[in-house]
Amino acid sequence: MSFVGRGLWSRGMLREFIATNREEILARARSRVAKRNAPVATAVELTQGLPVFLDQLREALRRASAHDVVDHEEIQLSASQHGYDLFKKGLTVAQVVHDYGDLCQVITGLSQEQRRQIPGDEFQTLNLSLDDAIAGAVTAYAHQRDNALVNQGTERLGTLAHEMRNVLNTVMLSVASIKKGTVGLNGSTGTILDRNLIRLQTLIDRSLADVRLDAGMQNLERVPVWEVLEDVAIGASLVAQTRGVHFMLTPVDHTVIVEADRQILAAAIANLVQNALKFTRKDTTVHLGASTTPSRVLIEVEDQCGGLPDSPESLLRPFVQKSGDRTGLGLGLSICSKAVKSMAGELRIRDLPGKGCIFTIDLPRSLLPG
Amino acid sequence: MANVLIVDDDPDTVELYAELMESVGHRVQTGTNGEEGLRSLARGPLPDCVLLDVDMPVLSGPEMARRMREQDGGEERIPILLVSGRSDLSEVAGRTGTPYFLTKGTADHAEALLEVLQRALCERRAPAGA
Repeated sequence: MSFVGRGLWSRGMLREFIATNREEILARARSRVAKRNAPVATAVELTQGLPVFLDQLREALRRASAHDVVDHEEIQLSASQHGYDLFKKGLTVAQVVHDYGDLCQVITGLSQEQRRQIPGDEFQTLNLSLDDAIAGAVTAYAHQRDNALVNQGTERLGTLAHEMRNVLNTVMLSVASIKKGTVGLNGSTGTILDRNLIRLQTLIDRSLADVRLDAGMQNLERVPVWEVLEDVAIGASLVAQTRGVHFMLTPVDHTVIVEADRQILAAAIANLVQNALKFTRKDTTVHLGASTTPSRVLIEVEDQCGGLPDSPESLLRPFVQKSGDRTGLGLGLSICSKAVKSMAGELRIRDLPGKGCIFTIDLPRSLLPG
Repeated sequence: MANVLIVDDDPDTVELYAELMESVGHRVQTGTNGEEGLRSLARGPLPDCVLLDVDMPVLSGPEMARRMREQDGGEERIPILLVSGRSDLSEVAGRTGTPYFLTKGTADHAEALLEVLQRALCERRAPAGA
């Protein structure tokens, strides 16, 4: 059935128009979605989403033309499935909304091409169905996203508990050993106790930094970089001893100052240094230092781990870890990146294949007088 | 007294476990990841028990356990005692096929560790054909 040249539609004809042009409408909608979205929508997504909505729209129009009511609930429920699928494919809420908007624009655009004018009441039904579909899809999308955030939070807590248990275990074994009187507090067991109390402190500082970042509680102030690096170096030297590696701090000019949250900056640097000490090869050196440009301060941690197994960017995602080791890297780097960003900076990773890697915290230099 | 192979990626933990084992007369071999553990087994002498961490770089504890069984066909039946801070340790132990596990960071860990180790050593079945 063709509508070309027929002018104003009678009631119910929009439904017939959609039925007649179903494939054309879907093809155009797919084309629009494919051109606009990144990541590009897949055929499966469109099979489960847009065609369902289009068929629902036809049903809504049929009921409206028969003086029945539009089944809002049914449209919303089906749209929920679409929302889940879109979330799993990594699309944003805006993209979900646009998917439906595209479909409606294709319908109205095609009707104009065919010189048809959609009657007011049918246009209203079209809009109502669009609203229902968007509400259903966005609600489902938000539900999925909230669940993912909760799961991520649970995993973060689990990882933290695991890391703290490991360190606490060493502390408790040291204390038990000292209490038995077989070893002295000033011997190697005492040193292990010291080192692990520092590790515990680093973990707690890192977690507090994470909480403060999430809560937006940064306290920005002018921080001399040398002070923070020297604080970090105290713990790093102790850890280096036990791992059979070396740690070297290159002195930093006392005039080098950044605008930062001191605790968060210290936690971020300490985390990078702990990672470097963990992965650098035996008998190699981890370097910590800072250089400047007229407007930037570059704090660098260099290790000799032999190079990265994966792309440097992948390391900044939560829970991604080198060599399958979960003790302290996966979450730390992602928090570190977040911390640096909160201070208008950037965390960069440079891979030196076969040699090692360099982590750089790039922060704006504070040039105002103190 | 027994030979115990300790495999843990944390050098402090290795040192403290070794000290604990030696304090009750056991002999100790050590490794800081699963690959080092397997190399130690290949070199011999075979241990009477492996004290094994779960999450380690290079090769994890459960993967080392799997390769141990694969390589000797399970004939040696060396008991594996998993020690880790993981909250799902019992499930990991189940998947690894060992009834012996102990969570790190719990009260009286040293005493508990020696108890579980003793149980593992006593319950160790004789190697096949022995």
